[in-house]
Amino acid sequence: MARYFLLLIPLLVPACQSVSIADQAQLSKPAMSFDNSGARLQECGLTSQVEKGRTVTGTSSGGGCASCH
Amino acid sequence: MKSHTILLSLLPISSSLAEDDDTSFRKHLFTGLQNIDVEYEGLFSSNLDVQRGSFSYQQEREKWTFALSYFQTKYGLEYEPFAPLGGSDNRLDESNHQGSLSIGYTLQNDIETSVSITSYDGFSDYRSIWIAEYYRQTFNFPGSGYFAPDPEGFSITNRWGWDPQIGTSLSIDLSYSEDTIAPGWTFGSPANDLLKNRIVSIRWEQAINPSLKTETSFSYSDITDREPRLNLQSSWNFALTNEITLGAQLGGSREESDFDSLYGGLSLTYEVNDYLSLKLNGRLYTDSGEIETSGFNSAAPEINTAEIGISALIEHGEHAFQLGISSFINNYKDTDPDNEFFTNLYKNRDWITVRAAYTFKF
Repeated sequence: MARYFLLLIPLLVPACQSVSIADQAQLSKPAMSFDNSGARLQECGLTSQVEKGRTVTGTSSGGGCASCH
Repeated sequence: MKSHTILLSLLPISSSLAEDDDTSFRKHLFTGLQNIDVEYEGLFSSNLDVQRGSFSYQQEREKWTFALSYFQTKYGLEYEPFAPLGGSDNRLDESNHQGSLSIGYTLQNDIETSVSITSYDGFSDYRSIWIAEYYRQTFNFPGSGYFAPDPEGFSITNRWGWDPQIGTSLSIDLSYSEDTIAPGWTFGSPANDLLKNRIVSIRWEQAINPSLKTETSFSYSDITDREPRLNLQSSWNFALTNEITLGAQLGGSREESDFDSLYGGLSLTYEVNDYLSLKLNGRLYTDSGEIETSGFNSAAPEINTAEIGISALIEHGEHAFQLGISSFINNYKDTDPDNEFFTNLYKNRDWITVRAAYTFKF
């Protein structure tokens, strides 16, 4: 799995550029944010009931059943 | 008579003072930057429905942050046993109630810390309801020792966050939870019904340039009777133009001895104007099937899923409203002979998901 992420690193290097306070408005848009909540979170968390190996934003943890590992 | 007149004339004053005190108290209690979220989510298929509603209130006052949340989840299942092995159809309706409280404080050098406590009562997913019904029909007879499950649990999370500069943030979550679950059964004895879970999550958000932002997250979880699970996820948001943003995500999990998952997705957000934005998203997920560590096999087989959806976000001043709908399909590999009891649970389904949410900041 880690190899998939290593592939992303070469893409990052040429893209690096300093970010100033003038860019804050652009970077804070809901479409650019990763920690949205409430109306700005546009993902249904209930699909995690089917997909047990995925991280879903905004859902709560809770035990299932002993056999559902 | 005169004294009565004086008393009567004082009454409105004292009443007014009480009202002033009450108003002052309310103003003192509800102050600072406040936020209310009301959310609804639904997951629907032909014979399984899951619906969740929630209400959250958050207040930021100087260096302090307080948050309260309440969730209610309702499940509706048409239980259908695997016919060759017996059992009877049954309609199952369950609900889950959950509350949480969080208190945060901003320290020096842009460091924030918070403690969150969550408690819930009821089944936490539809699969455990289905499996518990199978056990009830199979093991609930005189002298079996069977007892009905009563799932509940709590979690405590301590978060440390650091925002050293614009476009950069780092956080670490330390969580501990205990879940009393619906146990698996064999003749005469239930399996362990208490799971203790320790999780460490690290999240790093970094603006690469004014148009590109990334988030990398890693989590390590250690649950009773299981090997630790590792999850790694990378998300990218790229502003193609002022109005169009492309999002991408790639993630996966690993748990010994043989659980792997891999998922990825793309999204396109278009800001129609200052008030309305539309988002189109699609993603794929696959895993190798759950690991069975108890004596009886109810684990899910290998699965592939796909989702495509559209949502609209309307923002106007202090108000924001979002409505989204998606088509979500799952394809399971056939169950093995040792867990064909759950053939009808782990069958291919077409789902519709719905999400509506309202946020008010004041």
